[in-house]
Amino acid sequence: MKNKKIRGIIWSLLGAAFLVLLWVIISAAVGNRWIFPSPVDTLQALGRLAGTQTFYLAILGSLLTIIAGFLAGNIAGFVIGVASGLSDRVHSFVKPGMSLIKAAPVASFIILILIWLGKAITPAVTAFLIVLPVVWQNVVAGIHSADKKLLETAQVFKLSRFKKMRYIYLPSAMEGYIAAVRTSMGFAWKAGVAAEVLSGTSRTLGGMIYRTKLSIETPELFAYTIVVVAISIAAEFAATAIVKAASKKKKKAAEVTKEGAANV
Amino acid sequence: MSKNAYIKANALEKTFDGEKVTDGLGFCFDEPGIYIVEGESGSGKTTLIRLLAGLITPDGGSVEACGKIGVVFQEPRLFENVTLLENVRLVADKNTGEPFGAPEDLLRAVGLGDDLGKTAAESSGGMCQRTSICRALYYAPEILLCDEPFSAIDDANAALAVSLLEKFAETGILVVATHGGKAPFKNIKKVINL
Repeated sequence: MKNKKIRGIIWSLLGAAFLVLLWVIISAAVGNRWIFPSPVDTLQALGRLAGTQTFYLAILGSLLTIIAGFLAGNIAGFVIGVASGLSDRVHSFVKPGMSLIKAAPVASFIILILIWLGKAITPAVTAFLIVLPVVWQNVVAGIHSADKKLLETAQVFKLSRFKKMRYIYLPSAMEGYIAAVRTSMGFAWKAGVAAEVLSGTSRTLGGMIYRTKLSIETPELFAYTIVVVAISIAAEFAATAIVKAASKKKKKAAEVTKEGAANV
Repeated sequence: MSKNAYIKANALEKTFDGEKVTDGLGFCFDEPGIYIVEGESGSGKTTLIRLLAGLITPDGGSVEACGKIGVVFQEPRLFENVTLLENVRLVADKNTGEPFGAPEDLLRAVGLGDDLGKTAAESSGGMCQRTSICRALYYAPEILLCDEPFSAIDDANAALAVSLLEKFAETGILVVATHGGKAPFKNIKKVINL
């Protein structure tokens, strides 16, 4: 098992090295740093940016707005998902809206939000709309996959709706939710930055990317892209770890409470 | 137990995959005691228990019951991430009495006194099965339907569970489905062969 994991890591590192090699070859073939900068050009640009305060303010600005949208999308997606999973009527009522949000091009959404709500809020609302249907769909699937035998047991012992929710539906919904968090974090981040680019917000990563386009600073564009990718991966891991830790802590707390009650 | 508690099968018929598993079966259990449903694997014991519990509907005939029904399923069906104690306690409702004492007492009576705080996921199949018997008893039913309740329990612990179930049968209707030879009860009132 451990060897398999190590082999997996080695192959992933080889895959990453292959991409860098491809990058080196293409940039050498193109031979123009303003069209296709090399890894060295990009690292130099990243070094320059890292020495400025604007760079860190841009990261902070993007993190705050996109994570705000992500959290709002998670809360709304979870609540609407639980309601939809438990009621076919709610599910049928909500489904067209979710399908619309999922199917509509992100760029159309961004421009419409930009027109309706202004540029300051556009990245957060975009992240919210990207996350909402993903979380909703996974939570609904989680509730629909609730253990039928446990539901039958609940029927025999006439468990209340609250107990069915607490012991059967919520654990089932959480399984779907954890799967959604990781996927939706990446989506939120990409769409959020795209919204920043299109709306030209200041002091955000997307806003800085927009500026590199104006000044044709391709090495800086590559550098910012690397930063966006790195933060996206880190945010995915952090979000998954937080959700997993929270659900473990909840289970443990329930067990400790019961043990305490048993000892009284 | 209410004096009127009973469970009655009238010409029960149920077919699975074109095969009749209960063919015109009829009986009436209307007095406290132990009733055994015997049969080989696949003879329809589980189907009969599920019919009596109202979990499936018969293709023909009917089931009539008066009284609160509890079930011990063949698989324990506990909530995995919840302690054994909580698994028993959570069936409490405003009508649940404690004729066998508190959930802790019931679990101690089947040898699980040291495992109250263990989750079902951390417990063995036998521990879970004993817990599911305690859960059904704590529910304080008047009719208790058990489907192979000792299949995963060793003999010493099965004896503890048997004595609890025999105590229940002094005032309640106990129906136990078993595949023969493993119904370690005294004073069996009636045996139905499938």
